Amino acid sequence: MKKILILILLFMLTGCSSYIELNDLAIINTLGLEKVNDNYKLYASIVNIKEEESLEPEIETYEIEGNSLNQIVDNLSLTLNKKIYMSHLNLLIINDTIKTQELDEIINFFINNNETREDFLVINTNNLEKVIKNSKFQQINDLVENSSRETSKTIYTTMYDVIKNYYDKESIYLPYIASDITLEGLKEFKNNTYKEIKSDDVIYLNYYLNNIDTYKYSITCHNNQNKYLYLNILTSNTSNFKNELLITNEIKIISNDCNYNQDEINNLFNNNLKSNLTKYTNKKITIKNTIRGTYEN
Amino acid sequence: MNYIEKIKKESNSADDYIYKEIKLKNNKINTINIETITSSEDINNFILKRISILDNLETDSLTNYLFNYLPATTTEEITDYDKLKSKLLNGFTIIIINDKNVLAIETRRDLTRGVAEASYERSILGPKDAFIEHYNTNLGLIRRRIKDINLHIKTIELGRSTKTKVGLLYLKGIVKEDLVNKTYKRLQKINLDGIIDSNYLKKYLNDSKSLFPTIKGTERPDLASTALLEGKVVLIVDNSPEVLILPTFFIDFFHTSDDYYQKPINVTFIRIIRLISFIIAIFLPAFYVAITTHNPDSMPINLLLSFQSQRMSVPFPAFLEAILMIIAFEILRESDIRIPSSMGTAISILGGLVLGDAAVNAGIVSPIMIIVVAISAISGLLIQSVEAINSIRWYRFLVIILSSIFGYYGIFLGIILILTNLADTKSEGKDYLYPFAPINFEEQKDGILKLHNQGEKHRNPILSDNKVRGK
Repeated sequence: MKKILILILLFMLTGCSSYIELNDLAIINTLGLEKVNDNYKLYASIVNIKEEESLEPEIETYEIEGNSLNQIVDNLSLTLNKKIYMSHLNLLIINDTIKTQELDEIINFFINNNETREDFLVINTNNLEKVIKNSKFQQINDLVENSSRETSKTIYTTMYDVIKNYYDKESIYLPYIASDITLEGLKEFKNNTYKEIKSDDVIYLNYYLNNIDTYKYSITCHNNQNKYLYLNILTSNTSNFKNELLITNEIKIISNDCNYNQDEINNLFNNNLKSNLTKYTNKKITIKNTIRGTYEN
Repeated sequence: MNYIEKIKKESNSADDYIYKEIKLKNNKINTINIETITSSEDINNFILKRISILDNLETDSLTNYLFNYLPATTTEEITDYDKLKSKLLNGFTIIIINDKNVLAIETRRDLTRGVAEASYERSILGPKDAFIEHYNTNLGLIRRRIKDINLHIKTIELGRSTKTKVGLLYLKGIVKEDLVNKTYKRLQKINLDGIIDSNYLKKYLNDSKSLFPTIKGTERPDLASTALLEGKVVLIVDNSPEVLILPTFFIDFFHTSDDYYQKPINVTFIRIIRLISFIIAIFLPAFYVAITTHNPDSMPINLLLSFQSQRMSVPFPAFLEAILMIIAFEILRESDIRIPSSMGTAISILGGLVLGDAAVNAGIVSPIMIIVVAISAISGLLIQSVEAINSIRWYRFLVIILSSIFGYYGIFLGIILILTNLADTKSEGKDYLYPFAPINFEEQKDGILKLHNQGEKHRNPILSDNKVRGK
């Protein structure tokens, strides 16, 4: 009797209902969302499997409209006659029509959906349909990831970051992809409006947010406009104190055609950084650099 | 009724019972032997030739003469009919002198094969000889390795009809006496009409409900000798090429005799491989079923798509597909064991290659399922014990069922069930999971790991009070 009771409890307390065969899944790779005439319009890129292993899986994009996200997903499931599977969702693309109210519904949808993860990339674009139909997830992901890591000219924003910043009432920064699938900096969402931040300015925002991985910096020589000083910022750390922003950089000189000495390089770099950071903070800015490499060409 | 009449009646005048009457001047001598189990040459040379030259002696003097001067290793005087029957059935020749005195003289025919190479416990570096179906040969193979007067044997005859000789071997001074006494008492309690093989004894000596074997059978004399030196007891059963080692721990199934003939670092590596194989053998099909039916989110997308494309044409659920494949493998394995070796290759090609490929092309199973079941099956064969392999089979089914219902949760449930079952198991009163539970750090040096010469220097403290070897 005790054993039967344990078995019944096991069946009742565990995921018996989660049984699903692989072929009954519609694996969604990329989602695009926009608001059209008070309705949501959803673009879903679904991986279509072919039986022949050698063939690349086909991505098919479905468009569907509805009042709410849950309704759209249900309709999509009925259309495909498969279970919508979003555990492997890699990319969410939104445009400027998605404002606070819509963002709130999107966040609720993903928080309440226990099958999805929150580590997928979220981007903004001005031409949702074109971007989702003409690009692959991997292409956009690589673009944003490399740009963020190598040039610090964007921020790799995941759904987790969106949710966190939304509830912390902070600005939400989304990589901005143009219709020709190029990265154009960031879109900042704050106070129900989107503001574009150009790629070059994103570096200073990243300084402020302590988000710098590495980037290359160049200045023309003051005595010769055809010559440059190239620096590679290897690491950077920003400490945001109450009244002070303390930045420490580890810099490597790539080429020094201007024959600047250490103090000159320091001054040039620091002055430029300070002047650009004043857009984001009024605090006192202190910069400490460790410079490696030769000073003379 | 005299003895001859009685035997004739009871044996229903069987053809191979040979009765001979030798009439001398003053004496009458009758001999009885069973042709099929006695050596006619020995009887002719050492009994009949001698008897023919005797004549004028009195009955008692004749008996004494035969008792003392017949060149036989075992000669016994028989006083009761039951003993007479027992000796006759054991290959002795019965000599009845003047219907009064009875002698039994050993004239057993050697019905066994010679010592051959081990068939299922193969070794690369170690000795190649294996036990055979002859009690004395098996005992000799152990005695040849352990030349110690403390190697004691307690013998018992089991089986009402078979009268099988069972020898309980132990090394006095090393083994714990209670293990010997307990095992001997258990043997005494066995009441069967026949003990055909040593495996008959297992269920009577085993007090565990676990599917894992708690008594290890071995065909290797070196392994049996090692066990004796460790403080274990060994049971030799006549007519059985497998001796039993008691007690047996779970870890013993991951050890082979080769482990003591190689560098410790190589042994550690291969033992880890064996453990991994054991885990793969039980859990791999269940893991596959879990990720394809409950937890596809734990797979990278490319793998998920690959699995999905392979399963497209398969009409069965993953669980059924796994069960079908495992059963197909078991059928192949069983047929491979039962059929003559000359047909083995044909079956392997037909079963493994033709049917496997055809099943995939016909869309009955997916290629990935064949890979999963094949890896699981091959991994399960790394353990030399047939019984351990069979227990893996049941645990594999159990975990597949659990994983198909509960996904990963079912696998963890299976792990808990198996571990609790193992932890609850005892072999001759000793904890089966020793030296892991209860933990003994000293014994870990010859557990999964093998540190330099540790196994040869120290004895397992729960098996022997005489812990240091060589003293």
